[in-house]
Amino acid sequence: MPRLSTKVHLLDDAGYAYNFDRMMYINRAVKKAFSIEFIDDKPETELTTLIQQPNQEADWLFFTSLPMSEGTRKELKRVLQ
Amino acid sequence: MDERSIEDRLREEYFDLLPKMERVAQSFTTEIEYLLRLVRIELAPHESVIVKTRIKDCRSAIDKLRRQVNPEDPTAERNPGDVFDRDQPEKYSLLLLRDLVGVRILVFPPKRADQVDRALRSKFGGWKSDRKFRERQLGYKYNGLRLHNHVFIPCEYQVVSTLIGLFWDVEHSAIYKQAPQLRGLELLMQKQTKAVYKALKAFEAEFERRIEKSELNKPSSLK
Repeated sequence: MPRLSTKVHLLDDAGYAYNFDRMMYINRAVKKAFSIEFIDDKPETELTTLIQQPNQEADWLFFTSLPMSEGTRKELKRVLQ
Repeated sequence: MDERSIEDRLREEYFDLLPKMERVAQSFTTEIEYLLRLVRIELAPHESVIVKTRIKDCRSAIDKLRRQVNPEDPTAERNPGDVFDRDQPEKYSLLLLRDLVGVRILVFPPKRADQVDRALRSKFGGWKSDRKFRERQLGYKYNGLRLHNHVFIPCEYQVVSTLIGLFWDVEHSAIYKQAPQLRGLELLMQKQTKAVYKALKAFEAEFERRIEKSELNKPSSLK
């Protein structure tokens, strides 16, 4: 599996920026966020597909390896506004 | 209903626990120093065993709780997004952290680490070993609880090489103490951090090799 450092280029190139507080790659324009563990876990091809897939929702899309509670999701959306 | 924020409640908990943490830190360090007395007697002049104790500060304790406690999966030890679930304030307590009190034993040369580990395991045999830390060849790390005034305080001790331990001190005080929000950078710096470890380990290995081959290591009658 490619190293994290090579995979983050995919996100950099797609306009995502790393957020130190959230430890996620975030693109506010398309309302999508990828956790660093998710990027680490997933192969490059899957990441590319997810990055390219348009967000059809008006809401944020979070890609994480671990489950998130509804309250955590709500708070994360609030701090990302 | 408690109107205060989760952070306010945790700050109150911290200052309630602080006197207990201070007493535990003192007794824990004293016990470790006592257990290491026989190792120290054997040390050559260029060898050292340094014991450093710290109590986690309030801000980093709250930050760590935010990063680690996942209300959806308590076993995960990682909370995506690093935010508190404000609908479930009861899920958070500083006593969930594993290292409110921490002792780091710095050893040089690193071959002394096994001896230090054995001396401490004679007393702390029941403590939980951090397997990942061991697999990364960083030394030994254990977690356990120490009782003070009816409260179990989560404690940790590490046995690491002096050079790597001091690198962590420098890295921490130069970067993350000044700007804790940069903590997230650590994960992106893994490759460079591994390179530093490799260089420091190579230095220690060569140092040990040269000492072993030198006159210092020969019986005095052969000098």
